[in-house]
Amino acid sequence: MKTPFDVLENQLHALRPSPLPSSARRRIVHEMGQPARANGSMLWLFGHHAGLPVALAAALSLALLAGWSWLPRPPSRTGRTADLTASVALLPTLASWGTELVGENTVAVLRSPSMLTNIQIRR
Amino acid sequence: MTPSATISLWQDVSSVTDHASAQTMWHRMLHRCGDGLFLYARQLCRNDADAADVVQEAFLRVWRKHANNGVTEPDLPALCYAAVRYAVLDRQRQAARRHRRELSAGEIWYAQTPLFASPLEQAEEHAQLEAAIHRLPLEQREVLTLKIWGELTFQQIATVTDESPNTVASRYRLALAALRQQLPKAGTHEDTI
Repeated sequence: MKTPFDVLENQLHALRPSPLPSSARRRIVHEMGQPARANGSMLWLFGHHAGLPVALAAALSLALLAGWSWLPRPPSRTGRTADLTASVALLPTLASWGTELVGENTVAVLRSPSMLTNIQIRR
Repeated sequence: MTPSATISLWQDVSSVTDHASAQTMWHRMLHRCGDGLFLYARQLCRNDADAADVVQEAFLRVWRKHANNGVTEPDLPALCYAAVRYAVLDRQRQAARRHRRELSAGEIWYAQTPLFASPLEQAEEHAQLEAAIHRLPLEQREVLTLKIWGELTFQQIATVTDESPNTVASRYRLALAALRQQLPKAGTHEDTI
């Protein structure tokens, strides 16, 4: 059954929207013609909000590694292998550095408020 | 040719084919929905130049986000219309802070530009319809545009507009009722059974 609303809808469907300006259409097609931006290139990695911190962290790690080998050393150098080993060994040290700064008691207090009470009682 | 080289070549060819078919899908989408997106942007933007920029920005934003994640063609229109809406809202927030006067000037100019392309013999009837659509509240006009010219379902419109499907359907019915009230001749060109 056809209602008056159906007829009105048909009349509305008969209205065709004015076309999108060809300049805008051309710009869109042109942008889509450059596949690098859609395929995860470095440019898109940096533009992406999650990619930037990752790239920065990677750059910082590299800078740390490179900087370590330029630090002044004692005269008894054992060659480049030792340097490399030292650089690699530095990474876990740096990672645990923050944790060590906090201290055992502080960590315990952070984990359990009741621990603070026990420590205070002991003191 | 070694088997590994054959596999590699086949992978290259298939990836190129996938890429080409994906590109075709996006081009098809632009061809099918470009005008509707522009109409929707004009409803919200009230300025043709801004509306065209918004469509470009929104379409490319959706393309960059979904070009490689296996999105299917039926999902694309709703994503594009939603992106247009967000882009317009972003611009409106910026514009409200910066130049209120330019917006009001754009509104006057926008009102003089026809939203629809009409053949000469139906120009008068279409002009009346368009004027009636202009007089609808923005919420109803938005739903009407998405339903008629965006060809979205009520569920998709609800997602785009952040409303419930019932609200959206109600607004659509109200819009049609208002149009019928404003256009006494509307709906009488065909015989109703």
